[in-house]
Amino acid sequence: MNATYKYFRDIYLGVTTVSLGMWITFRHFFMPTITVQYPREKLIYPPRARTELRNAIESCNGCLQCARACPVEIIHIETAKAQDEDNAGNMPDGKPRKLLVLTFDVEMSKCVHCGLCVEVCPTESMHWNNEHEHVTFTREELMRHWATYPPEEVRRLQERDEILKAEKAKQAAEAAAKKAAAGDQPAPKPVSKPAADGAEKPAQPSAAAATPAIEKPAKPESGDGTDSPQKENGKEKA
Amino acid sequence: MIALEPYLDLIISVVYVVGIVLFLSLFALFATWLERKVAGHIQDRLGPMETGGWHGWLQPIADAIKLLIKEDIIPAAADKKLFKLAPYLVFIGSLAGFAVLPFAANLIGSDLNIGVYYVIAVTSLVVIGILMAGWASNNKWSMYGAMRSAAQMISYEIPVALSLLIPVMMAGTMSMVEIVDNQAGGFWNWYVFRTMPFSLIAFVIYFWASLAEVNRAPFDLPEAESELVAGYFTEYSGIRWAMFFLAEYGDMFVVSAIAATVFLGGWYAPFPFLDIIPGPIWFIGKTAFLVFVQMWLRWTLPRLRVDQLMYVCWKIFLPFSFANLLLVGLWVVLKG
Amino acid sequence: MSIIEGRFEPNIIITSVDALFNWSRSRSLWPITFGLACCAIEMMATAASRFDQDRLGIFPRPTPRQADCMIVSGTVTAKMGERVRRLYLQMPEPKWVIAMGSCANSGGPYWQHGYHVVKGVDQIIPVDVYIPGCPPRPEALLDGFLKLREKIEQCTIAKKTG
Repeated sequence: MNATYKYFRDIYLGVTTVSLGMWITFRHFFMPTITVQYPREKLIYPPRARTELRNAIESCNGCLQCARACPVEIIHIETAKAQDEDNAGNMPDGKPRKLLVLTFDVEMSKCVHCGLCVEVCPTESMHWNNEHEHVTFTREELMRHWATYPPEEVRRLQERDEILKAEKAKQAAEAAAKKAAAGDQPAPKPVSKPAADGAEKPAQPSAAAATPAIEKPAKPESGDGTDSPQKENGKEKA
Repeated sequence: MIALEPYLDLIISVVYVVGIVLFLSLFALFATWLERKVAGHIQDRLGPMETGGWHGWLQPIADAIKLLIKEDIIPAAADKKLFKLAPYLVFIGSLAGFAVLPFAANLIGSDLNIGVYYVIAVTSLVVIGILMAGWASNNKWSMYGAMRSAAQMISYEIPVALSLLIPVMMAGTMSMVEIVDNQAGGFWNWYVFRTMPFSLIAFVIYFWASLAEVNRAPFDLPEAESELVAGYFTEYSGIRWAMFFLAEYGDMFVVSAIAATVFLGGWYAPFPFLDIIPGPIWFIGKTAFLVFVQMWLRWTLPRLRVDQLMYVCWKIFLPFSFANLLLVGLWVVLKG
Repeated sequence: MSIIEGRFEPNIIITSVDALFNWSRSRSLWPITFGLACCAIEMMATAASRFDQDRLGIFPRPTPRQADCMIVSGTVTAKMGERVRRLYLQMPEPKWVIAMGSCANSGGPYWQHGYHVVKGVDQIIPVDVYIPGCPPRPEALLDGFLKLREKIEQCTIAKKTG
């Protein structure tokens, strides 16, 4: 009896549920569609939406925070100190530009769109630009070069920077030697240093003047030795 | 001047066949477009929109040309002769069904006195082609698909035949034209509405079982993408696959046209005063509506399991068909 | 197409045939249903109601024999690379490949230390279009298809000049 009841109940359920399903799909014929016809109409995403990464190079101050924050290490920046002869102009906030951003290359083919570089950027020059048309035919095109300096200019400015740096180091060494001769050791200047570094610090007092605190947290990762130019530039930043 | 008299029948037949093939191709093009549109609107999207202006009406043409000029791959390990033959056999099986479809009183390939029987017979020919395709591909998915297809088509042949017997009994003939003629004069004379509810049940059983006959969802197990890559035509590419596709849509048309013929009054209008509209339009309209319902069902229901498929056939459709047949037979005998 | 390809000089017939063939090929790009990682979710989103790739005639086929293009959507591990390559070889000519997302472009987050990842799917199969993003939005994938159309429209069956 139970089996018979189940048999007819199954048939009843089959007929009614299929009818119900067909009624539901029939109603959807006459509902408005929700399709966005992409090339003709586009969705507007909120500003934080991770669309296409861009850098407004004119407001980039070359601080390297994005390169350091990048988890996949694909942002390659080279900077040089701005001199009076460069006419570097002002940053958008009105202050004079201190660093020239010689190269700002992002390997967009490796980017994971995590947004950390946009988060840390102090000048908000790294941003999402709410566009999607960045498809390329070759992988090389995905290497984004945002700096505008031609290669020979980059080389010249780097060489100039090297010379200036060497001079400065010499001056610092002389000053340190003078101070050592006077007999009083200067206390390490940066305040945000971990205590463990204290042992290392007095061993190289001359470098302490040129090396700012911000270099330290990046140190444990520099074992790779992959991007030494960035580290060099990192020392420049005050 | 050559005497055309002896060849007249032949010439008319050839012209008719060419016309049917053209009609079938056009119908398949239209049906693929319609299917994508139906699918789109059921899912609150649009379907083809860009190709060729208004609602992508050129989309099937682009697809067809692309398939024609696509590379034709024959796998190295395939049984090459059978592999090449199978799509044509499947296509012929579906095309042969058109021979007895009465588009109008005079527009019929051949008014056989065993028309219904013939249709059941030739649509079973498709099974051979499908088995051939599955075997010749030398691919396990193809083989599974072909076996499933054969199992379900042969199983569902029985409810289809038993349901078609009901209008045959009521009309007392198997000729398509005579069956339609018996339904003349308004929709209340159609066989689906006579001897309620038996013929209505017969119509529903026929319609569902015919879905399994033509391997349409929810009975599309032979080409279940999630289990068998594409069933028996996994290895077919380009024009050969297009033949299968054409045959599938041809089969859809044939089974719907038979339903329209034997249950829904063929070329007759639902009301006698609408008979001024030509018969073929009514016939194709009714068939196209049933094809639309097939698509509607496809995009509504999920795929059945194999055991459920067989359960529905052997435990539900078959007993109901037999009971139906008995009761309608009784009704015919009592009516005299 | 090897029967007629590369046998004729460019002329009015060839260019008209080219126009027809390229139109049909670019308007009916059927990708193979094939997803590797998280990009596949965006690929599905592209097929779903909001973006509806069927509008452009893009219609996924389950078997490589009936597909025209392949969306490599996700991380190609060394183990999967073999399968990707085999699927590519099973597709009939003419065929195209879309590398979707950073992993398919160049290994993505695994480019440095990913001992198990193919550093860019272009090392195993030829890629026509690169879509950056992790994962790319559906618009970016649709844009990839539109760019692929542009590329297909440059094809010709005539002899190559030079």
